[in-house]
Amino acid sequence: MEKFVVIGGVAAGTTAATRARRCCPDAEITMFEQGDFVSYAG
Amino acid sequence: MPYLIGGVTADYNNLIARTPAEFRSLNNIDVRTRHRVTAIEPEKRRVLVADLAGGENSLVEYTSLLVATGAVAFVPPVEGRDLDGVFPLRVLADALGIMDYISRETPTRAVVVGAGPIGLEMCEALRRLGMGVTLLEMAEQVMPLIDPELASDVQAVLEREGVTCLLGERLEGIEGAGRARRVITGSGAVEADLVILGIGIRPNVGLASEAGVELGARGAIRVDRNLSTNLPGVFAAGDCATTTNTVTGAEAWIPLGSTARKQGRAAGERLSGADTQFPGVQGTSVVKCFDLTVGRTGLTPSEAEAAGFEPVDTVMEAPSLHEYYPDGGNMHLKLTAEKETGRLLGAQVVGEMESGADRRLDVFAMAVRASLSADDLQYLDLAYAPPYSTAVDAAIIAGNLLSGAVYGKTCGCTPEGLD
Repeated sequence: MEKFVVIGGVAAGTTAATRARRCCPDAEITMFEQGDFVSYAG
Repeated sequence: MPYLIGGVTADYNNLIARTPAEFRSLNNIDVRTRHRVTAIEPEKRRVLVADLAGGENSLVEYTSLLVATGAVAFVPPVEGRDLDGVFPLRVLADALGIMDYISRETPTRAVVVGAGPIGLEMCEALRRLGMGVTLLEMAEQVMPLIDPELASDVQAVLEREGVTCLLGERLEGIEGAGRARRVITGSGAVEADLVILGIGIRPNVGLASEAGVELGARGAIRVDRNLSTNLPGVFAAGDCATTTNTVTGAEAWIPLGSTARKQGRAAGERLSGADTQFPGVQGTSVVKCFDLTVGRTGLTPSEAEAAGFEPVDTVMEAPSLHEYYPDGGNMHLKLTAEKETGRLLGAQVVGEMESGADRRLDVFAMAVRASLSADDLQYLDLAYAPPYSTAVDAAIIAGNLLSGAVYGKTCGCTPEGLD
């Protein structure tokens, strides 16, 4: 089982995670973000 | 975020594309906020995670890891940087902190430190809110990313809009009792009850570096075109990572949100085992400063020289539309080419919003990417009708002028056109 871990959830991290999901429907994907917010415009 | 602070964007939730709950329900991605990865153990392919909300630490295994830790604001080590009312602007929490402070303390006089893109956007935002604004910049010009003769247009607009520009001045300290009251500069003091630090950012690489990840340009995480680091199964993307400058071919650190998204997309494919390559970037960026569009792509003449090119450059002013059609605006275009080949190396634009200088910037960005020459620019087939451009577009006229400078032709082409 593929396990992808992404550290950081703003621009690159969230884009990578969603793209990886599209490419790998079955992978386990976990994203860690130290702040309260993810996926926001700077 | 400056548009949120200035009230252009009404609600911070509008800046958020997807919440953790949406990532779970729409993408089946487990997003854990307030969790900090405190160590990467590359040999064991696992990370150590601390729950900042007070939960237990955990070890999480991976088959592939992406480091997308971004960049952090550079806060100069001056006295008073911890006073209330002194803020960098890097993450959403910074923006919310600034907004909370503004509603709580109703500051009236702001100092913005750093006249780069964030600084310019914040000047506009704070003027919108009715504050007096002083812009403090160490360089002798605003917007040091572009050359002085174009930056002077930006300074003129800032001053017209009531921003006091203090150039060639260093931030020495901030005074106040608990809360900011005064900014000390190299030559004096400015009263201020809000201080925004837009001095610069640094790649956030401590975690990766401690794990043995190699660093490259400007201390960012070194990645190749596969977005691989030197450690097996560990990738990096976004503001924490290097890239290739496609104009020079050299490793570079050019942190931009647009790049982060594209690198992130490629990195997502890499995680999935695809052989995607990220080609690099040429540093195309644009910023709005009141009613001015300010942008650049590729190399400035001095950057070209530093990279080993012999550059030629031309500067011209042009209207976007013919006089007989209302609207439009003026723009300054500065192009840089390689003298030997005529290859376009870079462009800088400053123009009124209505001039569509951003459109010309993107034309030049494509031309730089495709290694077009000054001659090629002269015969670009660009869209024309009176509401959109002059019959010979400003970008083409700039190509005429550049062509003259590169090839030494004297065919009568002038900044005014080819009448």
